[in-house]
Amino acid sequence: MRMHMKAAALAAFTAVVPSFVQAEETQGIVSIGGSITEIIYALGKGDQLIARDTTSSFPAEANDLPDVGYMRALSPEGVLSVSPGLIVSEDGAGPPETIDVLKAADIPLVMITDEFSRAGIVTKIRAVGEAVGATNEAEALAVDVDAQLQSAEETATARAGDTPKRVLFILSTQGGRIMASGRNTAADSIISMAGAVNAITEFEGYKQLSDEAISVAAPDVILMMDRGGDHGADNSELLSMPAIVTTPAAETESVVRMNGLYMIGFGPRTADAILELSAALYGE
Amino acid sequence: MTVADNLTIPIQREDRRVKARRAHIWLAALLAVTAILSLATGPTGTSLWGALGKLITGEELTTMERVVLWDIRLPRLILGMVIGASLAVSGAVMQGLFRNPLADPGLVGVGAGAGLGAIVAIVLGALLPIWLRDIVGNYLVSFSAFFGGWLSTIILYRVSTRRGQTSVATMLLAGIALGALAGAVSGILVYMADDQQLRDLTFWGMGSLAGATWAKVIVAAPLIGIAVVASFFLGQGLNGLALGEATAAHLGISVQRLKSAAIMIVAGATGAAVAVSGGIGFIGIVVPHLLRLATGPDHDTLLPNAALLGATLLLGADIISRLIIAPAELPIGIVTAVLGAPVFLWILLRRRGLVEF
Amino acid sequence: MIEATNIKVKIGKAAILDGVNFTAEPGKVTAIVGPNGSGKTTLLRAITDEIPWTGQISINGKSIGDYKAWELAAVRGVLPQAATLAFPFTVIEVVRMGLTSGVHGNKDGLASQALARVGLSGYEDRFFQELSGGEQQRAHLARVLCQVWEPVLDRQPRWLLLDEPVASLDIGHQLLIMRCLQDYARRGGGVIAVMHDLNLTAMVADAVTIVARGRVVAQGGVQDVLNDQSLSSAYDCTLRTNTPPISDMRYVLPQAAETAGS
Repeated sequence: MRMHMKAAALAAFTAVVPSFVQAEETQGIVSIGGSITEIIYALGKGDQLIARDTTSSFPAEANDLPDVGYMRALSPEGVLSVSPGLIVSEDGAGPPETIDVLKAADIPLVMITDEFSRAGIVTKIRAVGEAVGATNEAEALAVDVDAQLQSAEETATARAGDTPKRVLFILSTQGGRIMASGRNTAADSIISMAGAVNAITEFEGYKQLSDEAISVAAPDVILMMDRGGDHGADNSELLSMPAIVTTPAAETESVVRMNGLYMIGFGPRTADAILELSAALYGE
Repeated sequence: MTVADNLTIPIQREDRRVKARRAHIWLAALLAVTAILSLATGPTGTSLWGALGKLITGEELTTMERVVLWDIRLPRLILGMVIGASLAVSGAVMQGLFRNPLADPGLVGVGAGAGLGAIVAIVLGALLPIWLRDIVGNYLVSFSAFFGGWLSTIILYRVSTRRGQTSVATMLLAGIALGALAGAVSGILVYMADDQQLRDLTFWGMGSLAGATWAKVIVAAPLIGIAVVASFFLGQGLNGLALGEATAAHLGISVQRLKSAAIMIVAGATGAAVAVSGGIGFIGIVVPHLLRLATGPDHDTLLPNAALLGATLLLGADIISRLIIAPAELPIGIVTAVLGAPVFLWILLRRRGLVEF
Repeated sequence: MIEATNIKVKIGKAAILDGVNFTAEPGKVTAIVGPNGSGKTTLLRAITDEIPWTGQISINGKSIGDYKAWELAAVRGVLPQAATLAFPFTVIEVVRMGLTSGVHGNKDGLASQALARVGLSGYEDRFFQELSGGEQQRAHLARVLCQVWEPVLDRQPRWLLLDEPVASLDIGHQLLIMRCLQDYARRGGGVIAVMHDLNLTAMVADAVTIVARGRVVAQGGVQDVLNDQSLSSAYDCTLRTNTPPISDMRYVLPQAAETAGS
């Protein structure tokens, strides 16, 4: 709690002082979470970043920063070793023991709530802006992104018309077991924002699906994260899986792959992702 | 076991007891060096010597020095030592009890039970009333894993003990059954888990000392310390047990009491270790095996040496794990697996060449 | 004195021993003989408290239930028919395991002396598991000897309870071991040995118990017990005993079926 207040005080302070002080005050930011890093770069504060977590892979400059590890398995001394002046993190960074140590080391730590919606993105941008002392830039970006998102969602809805497609988001197909997204996930949100319908609504989160359940779900399109590699071969392999071969998606060979962070990161690029996804689903 | 006829017979020239006792000193020295190294190295480059100098001159430590040395490295050092010792000693005790150098606490369901405990805590912890979650806080997973380890040992003991006689064969089979049951229940819980819980499970399962805190030291160190020191008194008994239960009894060993003590020691040490650090494999098999090769199987010297070498190896693995991909950290379970699995395979192949089993 | 009274052992519903009475005196080598499955090993395992039994067993006048484990270990050593060994112990390490209970003087010297007694001098640092079957058996006997090294301690006789101690030995080592057991008895200790070889038994035993079909069918001195009638009935075949005129050593010869009646 103390950290939040400190960060808030810091943000309040930096809002009213000239910018050269600001820059000094917020030097050495560690960003935890792909969308947070994107927002920080979008706010023009990328030069103040000194480290990032594994999920922060955009923009390309972020990859040059030291990687402090996966956001849920941060090493306390690893994070301290980059001498952070401020840590801005998505909710859920951990383990809690590491967070405790960072607090003990008097390092300001701001946790940003992650919510998979237009309002969520806008709130996130404002919160990050406040944390890194770029309130004005954040406000401008928030307004801009909000407008883009609204327009993208409208476009997507228009493209979908009265026949929204049923989309199955597959997280992984490891060992022939299909992990798919149910309700209340980032994937579920992006599907509906792109004017489609999640084919799976029986459960929350990501779970393994039986072959028959997928047949019953009858998705028109399969959506996956792009992990690189040869797409064509992957697709034919995917579509010939017994679970999938019976679905409309297999018939029309409809598989959409997008970069994970871009598609379900819920950051400044989400409007583009919505448009790209809806174009892939329905055409321009 | 059948002995191959064409073996050349190695002669042990030096009395292995002398060698093994001298190893106490060497291993203790090695542990001390590794411990200092562990305190002195880390991604931040905080200097142990600088801080010690300040302590001597009465100068105040910087926050960084205080946090890194006192809140991160020191609890990690202590936890690494006790867990390394605990893994190696419970491996050695288990192997003595089962009279099989490939036995490991994982084998009798203690590890599986502890794992189930952790999963229960991660998945069902969210359902607890707030006041309870506040009390157990961050340590819910650890406590639950520890409890699962204990409980599975007690069930195992009840199942495999009839009229005061523990059948090692029944215990092994019961351990396999318990492991399967724990695995099945874990599977159901994993299915119920949400995305974040799943990720927590994955990282817990890999094992890490990164979460070392004084609170964990206080929970785990006394229990493991008692178990490890208590094991040193089982040396003669476990030696006798190598001749079989009946012969051990003829030698004047109270076999039932020995077995109960061994089981309790293993349950306590493994449960506590798994609870605070997740699954760290291979130390329990590799350390006793290397020591048996070097100084012989006499448990009187094997157990203290295993404690020392286990602590040293885990500290070494921890130093690697925190430096190799700094500022990120490789889970220590991966380090021990990468180093230990080939040795384990080598043990298997070597055994196959020597004796049929 | 070891006394066993009305010993019954059941495995499932089958009575392996059905009310056996058995005594052995210190200063003597007492042999237990009988055909396969007669219950002779079961009798020894009851006396050594390895298996559940009912009845009364006492050693030196004290019921074995009243001994603590280490007290029992100090008064008798047991050699099982087959002992396994886990882990690569050396021969001397195995023999030293016999030294963990009881009262001993020079421990290390004792283990080497015991090895010499069974003809294994120089084998100290060999790996036990790499010895031949007969050598392993002798090493185990050395371990048992260590456990009850002095045949008499505190004026109480100590006991060697052995299950076929010479079963896998060559004839020379059979004699060596049997002499060693005789010597132990001469010096006041007690020896009970389950025996397979009737002639060897006749040569070294002071007393013989014949067990057949779960009962004791004969008990007493060699000359009284090892006779045509009791042996033929116990082993369920025709056997002829003889005593050559030049010594009083009895020997047993199997009789071919066609000459059985003559």
